[in-house]
Amino acid sequence: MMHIVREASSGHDFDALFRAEGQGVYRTMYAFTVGRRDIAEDATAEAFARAIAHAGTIREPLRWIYRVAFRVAADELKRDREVSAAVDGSVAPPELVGLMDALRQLSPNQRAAVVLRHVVDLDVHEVAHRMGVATPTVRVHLHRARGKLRELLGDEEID
Amino acid sequence: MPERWERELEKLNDVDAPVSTRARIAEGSHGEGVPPPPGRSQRVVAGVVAFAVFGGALAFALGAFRDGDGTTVVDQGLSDAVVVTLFAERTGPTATMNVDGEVADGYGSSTCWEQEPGVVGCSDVVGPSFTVEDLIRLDAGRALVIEGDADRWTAELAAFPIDDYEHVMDVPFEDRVGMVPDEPGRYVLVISATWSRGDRQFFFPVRIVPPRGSPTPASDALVAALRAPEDGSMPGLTLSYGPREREYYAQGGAWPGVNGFTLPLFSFPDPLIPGDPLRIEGDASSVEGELVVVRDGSLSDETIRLDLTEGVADLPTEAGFYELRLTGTWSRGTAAYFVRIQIGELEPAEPSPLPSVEPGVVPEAIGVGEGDAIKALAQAGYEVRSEYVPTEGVTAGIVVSLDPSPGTALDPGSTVHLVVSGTTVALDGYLTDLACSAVDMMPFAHTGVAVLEPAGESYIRVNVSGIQPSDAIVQVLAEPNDDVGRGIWNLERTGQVLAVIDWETLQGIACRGSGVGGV
Repeated sequence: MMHIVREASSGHDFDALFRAEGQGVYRTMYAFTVGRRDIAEDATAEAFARAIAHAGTIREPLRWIYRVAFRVAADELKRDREVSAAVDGSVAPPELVGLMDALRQLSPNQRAAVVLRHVVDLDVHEVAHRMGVATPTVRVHLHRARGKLRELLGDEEID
Repeated sequence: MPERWERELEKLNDVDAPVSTRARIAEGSHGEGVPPPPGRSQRVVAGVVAFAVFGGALAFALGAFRDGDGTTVVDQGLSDAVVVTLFAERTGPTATMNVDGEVADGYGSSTCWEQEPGVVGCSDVVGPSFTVEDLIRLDAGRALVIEGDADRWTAELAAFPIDDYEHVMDVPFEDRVGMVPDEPGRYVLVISATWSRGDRQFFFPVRIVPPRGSPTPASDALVAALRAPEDGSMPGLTLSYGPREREYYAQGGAWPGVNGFTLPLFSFPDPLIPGDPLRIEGDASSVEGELVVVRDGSLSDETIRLDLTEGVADLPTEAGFYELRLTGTWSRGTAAYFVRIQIGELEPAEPSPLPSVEPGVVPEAIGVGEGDAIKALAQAGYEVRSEYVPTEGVTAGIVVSLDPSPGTALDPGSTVHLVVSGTTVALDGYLTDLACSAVDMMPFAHTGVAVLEPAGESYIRVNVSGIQPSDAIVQVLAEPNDDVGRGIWNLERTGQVLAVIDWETLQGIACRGSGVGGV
């Protein structure tokens, strides 16, 4: 466990953080929810809003934001499954249909891990921090996700 | 060069958040909790109702409690309460849980704390790795009391273990008194507490069991169901434990039309909690059972007979590996099953430390594991050749000699010959969490030796405890492994791939028939 002492009054520039990292959070939530733009936007916005509200108590805002976003997105997905007539917010653009079909075959955590690693381009330790899980767990999610995506989308090398 | 699936993933870079997201952030948070789905609300309501019924019996105690300063537990109905004490020390808050005199420390998680006036230290902590042996047993319906000097607190149950944080249900409190929810299972009790100087979250791994005297529910027992199919074929065995269920076919007995049996090694993937009951179900007219203690992967001559006349028997409380042997009798014949089970969770053996390395000198690498010796020699700049020789009294996989011998001056780039004990490389450890629906799982031991970089496909004979040495081959997969750890081991048996495991976590990644990862 790390203890870092800092001034309570210092804050984070959430505007700059959103500009730099907001799309990454949104894209990760988009993949996590297999194209649910409504939930992805809600999770991203809610996570940033809560981070701003708790600014004085968060040491690593980006990791915190991701973890909250995952939790919000997972809660909304679960709630949605139990509501009989859900609005379909998941009409993917044509170029993404194949990818969305493939992501649907992965578990939510596998989707999160593979997007954080290969799209947001993080190392496994950072992926673990943002997902709020242990590093070996991320490795297992990654291995399974990649294997499945290779099988579904192909593994031939493309320039 | 990127593969096709990676190129597909990159298309996500063209997905942009709607412009409305910024405005939505500016509106502010909609609250700490997303409105719960109907199912969860019903659970919370049920919990509150149950508490109200229970609380009736505590009414006197609650009244007395409110009158006090709140720092001590009042007798009268709360004398057997589970007591959680939250206390602010100078360096930060602590929590303990007292269950019948046994005190456990709470795992301190995320916190912000004012250690000196105006100076706040915060830390976000990635959760601990709890094992089944950490579980604190709590009776459902038992009073849960908060003591100490925290100003406010909330309590919730999260799914066990807490690697993937998943909220399960709130634990409601009235003043300092709450109740262990009547939801048997394994959880992490999360208590979030606040003081004027800051706050902290505490984790307690708990196992909620039905109140004493009530019948054991299925979810709390290893259930062995033996059923004869209607088509007259040999009965099968289904083992279930919590959410996990596995089917096994018979490996012995006498049944019309059955002339022989294959003898793969069956095992149950999840560790069982020591002392849990074994329950028999199904349509066999009688079932006999015994447990054989397994040591170092081999059957010992220690047998524990199970008295199944009542259809239930307690499993051992001593952690370890066992072979569960069940024989069912029907009017048509008998069927016998042999399944390896693990009771408790065991730590893998610690690898031996690396020998110190001095450039240009053969390192002292006798008595260490082969993998560590290879690492040390590679670090010193040497090529390595290994030879396996059976050596009595020395565990397989340990280096018994080097040529040139340790301490010899030798130019980097030269070759050092290792003589490693055993005819095979010992691979000890056990496999967990294989994501397969039907697989023969092998509990086997590992010594942490022979760590090889996946430079291609190379076959090494291994001695995997529990199966014949000559049958087991380890294949190092020729694929990049920087994300998976020290290597991916592909355990093959007579040409059939059994499993791929992550060496570092000893977690199963793929196994026979799954088709994942090219296995």
